[in-house]
Amino acid sequence: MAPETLLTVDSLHKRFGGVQAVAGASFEVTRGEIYGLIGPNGSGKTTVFNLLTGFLSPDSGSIVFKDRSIRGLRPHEVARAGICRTFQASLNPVEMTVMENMLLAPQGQTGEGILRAAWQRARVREEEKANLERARELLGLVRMEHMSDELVRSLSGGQRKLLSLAQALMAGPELILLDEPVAGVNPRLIDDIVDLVLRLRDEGRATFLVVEHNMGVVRRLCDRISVLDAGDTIASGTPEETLAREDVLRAYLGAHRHEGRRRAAKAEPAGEEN
Amino acid sequence: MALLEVEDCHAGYGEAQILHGVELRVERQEIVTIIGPNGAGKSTLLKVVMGFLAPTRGRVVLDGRDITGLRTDQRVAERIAYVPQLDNVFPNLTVVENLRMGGYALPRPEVKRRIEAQLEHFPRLAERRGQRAKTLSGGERQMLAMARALMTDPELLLLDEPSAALAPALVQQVFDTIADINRQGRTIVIVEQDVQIALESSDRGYVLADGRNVLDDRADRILEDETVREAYLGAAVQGS
Amino acid sequence: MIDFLVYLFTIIGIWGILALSLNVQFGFTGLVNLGHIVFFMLGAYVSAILVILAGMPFLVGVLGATVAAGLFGGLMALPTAQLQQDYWAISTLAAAEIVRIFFLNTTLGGPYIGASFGISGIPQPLRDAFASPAAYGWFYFAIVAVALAGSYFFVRWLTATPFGRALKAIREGDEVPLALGKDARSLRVRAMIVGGALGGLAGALFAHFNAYIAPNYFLPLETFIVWAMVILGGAGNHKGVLVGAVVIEALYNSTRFLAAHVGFIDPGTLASLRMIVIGLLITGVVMYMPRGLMPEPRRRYGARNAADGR
Repeated sequence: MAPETLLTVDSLHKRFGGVQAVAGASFEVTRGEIYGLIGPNGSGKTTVFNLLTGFLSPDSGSIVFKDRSIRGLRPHEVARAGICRTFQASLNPVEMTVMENMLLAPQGQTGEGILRAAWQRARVREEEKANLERARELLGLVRMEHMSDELVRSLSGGQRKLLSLAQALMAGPELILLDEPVAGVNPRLIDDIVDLVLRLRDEGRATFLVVEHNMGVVRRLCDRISVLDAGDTIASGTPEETLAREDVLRAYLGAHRHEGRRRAAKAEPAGEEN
Repeated sequence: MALLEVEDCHAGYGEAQILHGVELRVERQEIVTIIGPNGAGKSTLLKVVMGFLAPTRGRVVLDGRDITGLRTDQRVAERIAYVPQLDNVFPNLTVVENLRMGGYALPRPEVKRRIEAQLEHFPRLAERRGQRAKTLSGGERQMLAMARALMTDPELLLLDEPSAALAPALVQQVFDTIADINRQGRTIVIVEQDVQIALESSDRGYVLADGRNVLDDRADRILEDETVREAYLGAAVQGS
Repeated sequence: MIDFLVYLFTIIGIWGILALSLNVQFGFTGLVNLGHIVFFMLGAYVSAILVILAGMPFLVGVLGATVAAGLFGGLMALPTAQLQQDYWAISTLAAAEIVRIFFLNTTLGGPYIGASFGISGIPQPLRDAFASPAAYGWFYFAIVAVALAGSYFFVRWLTATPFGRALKAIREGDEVPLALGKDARSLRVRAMIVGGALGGLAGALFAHFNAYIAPNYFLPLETFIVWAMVILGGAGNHKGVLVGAVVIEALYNSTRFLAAHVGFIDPGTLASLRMIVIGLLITGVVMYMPRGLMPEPRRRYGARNAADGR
């Protein structure tokens, strides 16, 4: 099967007041792969996620998903188009149970419209039953089925991350955006999460785009990565070849930011900035 | 005797334990920078030194005295000052009012005197003394945050990512200020993301990764060390 | 005494519907509506106007009241996209006051009808069919009881649907529901419409029960009474807020009995004291029982075997 490009991001730009947060980020995600987005703090990774999923709108650039531009869509419309995202800080409603969170996920439920829920009660019941089955299966995958009636507030950080992952799967998207899936997670659980995502990819359940800081995870998990620095893509390729590059290391050490200035400083005395 | 020593520090938040036996030693009038990838525990280490977080194991020793059990405000009295990364000025207060907040615990005439001293030292802030902090540029706000911390005349100054969210040109200015403060005889510990400029401006550096010490050396030698690459980008060949 | 109890329980029934209405908006959707009384007011006025000025029958009045209040609720929800939660709460307070002041300054169909005079002589449905006021009291109580039962079963059903689940989800923030494809704004608007409609129903029932309404019946203080019921009873629990309605209304109407037993405090002071008592009660609840007398129940789906009977 020929590799199919699922998502094309080209030349994204986003400015906040005086700060150019994203300055030309570009990359392509192929169906069935796990693609990583890495970069030092402040490089714009989370902003890119927000731009892709409609939580922010880009100043310029294009976002094409399955041959269709999704730029300018509102977040719930992006979700309905087939992209689901998780959040760095697990934002799942804590006053609801694990199962309620799972049942929330499927798209286009008949029962979500008041009138439809009233006229089509049998259909709503059937959908609930089917969703319940599927939810149990997915919770089993993350080994949380015994907690299905627990309130999210009693889950640990790592468990909430697993729930977000199961919930994303439940929504049935083609592309899942994982925002730091192992941040703040118990080290023992990190391997489990990595194994799980690899397995999900192998089973063809979804394509993944992952923002991650943990380089060990990036190397194990991602087929290809792009490195962002100051909002621009500076390198792309396999983790192995990309992380061996000098310019990538310098990006993390902040080295390149000052080269230009030091050269200029030698040419003339440092004046007032602003 | 070193001014500050951290011994075998273990600390974290509940199930997420961040520091696993970190050590630190800072001599008088040194500038020491702590670098490392995200999640390495750099900011957490500063928080332990300042008393925002109690270590589960280990000690913090200031000038030979064990201060591990002291509250933050007691450590301020021991002449340690701290500038956090975010929200480090009161945006709706003026420059002078911010400085006054820094001198909160001091007697009134002393506060006045020190405010004037700080403004003399930071002419840019003096020009804007009546302006609200939120109207200042990023670099000026950083300066104000440091000036506020200096109001207590600290011997030891802790800076958490002073260059965060600043344009490269302003970063240089901030580090010039830091060098200035050091010349006044103060000891400074910096946690930084912008490794290049921080190490250029420091005497020694510590590299942390995964909550542990990876390397510590003279600042100019660290940049050349291969272990830095490993700490930031992971080892080239992974086991499994 | 019996007549008083019938009166009391009719009032409890009407305010119970109001409490259910706020429970949908706040208990389930997390909307801090500080102008909730506006639905009560709109319902009362619209029904009175339709019946007195337009000569419509009682049921049309009630229907019109419900629709008008529901639509106004939807209107109030529209700025939620732009306004942060606190500011929206203040805007609801403003909306309620705007409506009240409008009715305060507007005469309706005659120089002495409406405005500060209020509307009197609101017809009571089928009044002529009953000889005594006492008998009519039972009849109207039956009407309210049916309306309350209908409202209760309706909201209970509604909050158990996927729609209700989506409402609970946006309670704690829009991000996750949006990321799962739920249109958060549309959900909020619909919650306000449903809550508004129920509030309007209560208002219409009140207008025809009391036969007289005036703007000073709908001061911001009255919103506080509904909130007290919801917080005391248990936000997110339908039975709970009804219990809250019983307690608060009983307290509110108890002074005539207490006056007899507590002779050293005059009835006027006693009437003022009840607000203090309610205030203290709410303070106590918030400090010691923040989830109310009957906290929101957890929805359980059970283990695999139990549910499927395998």
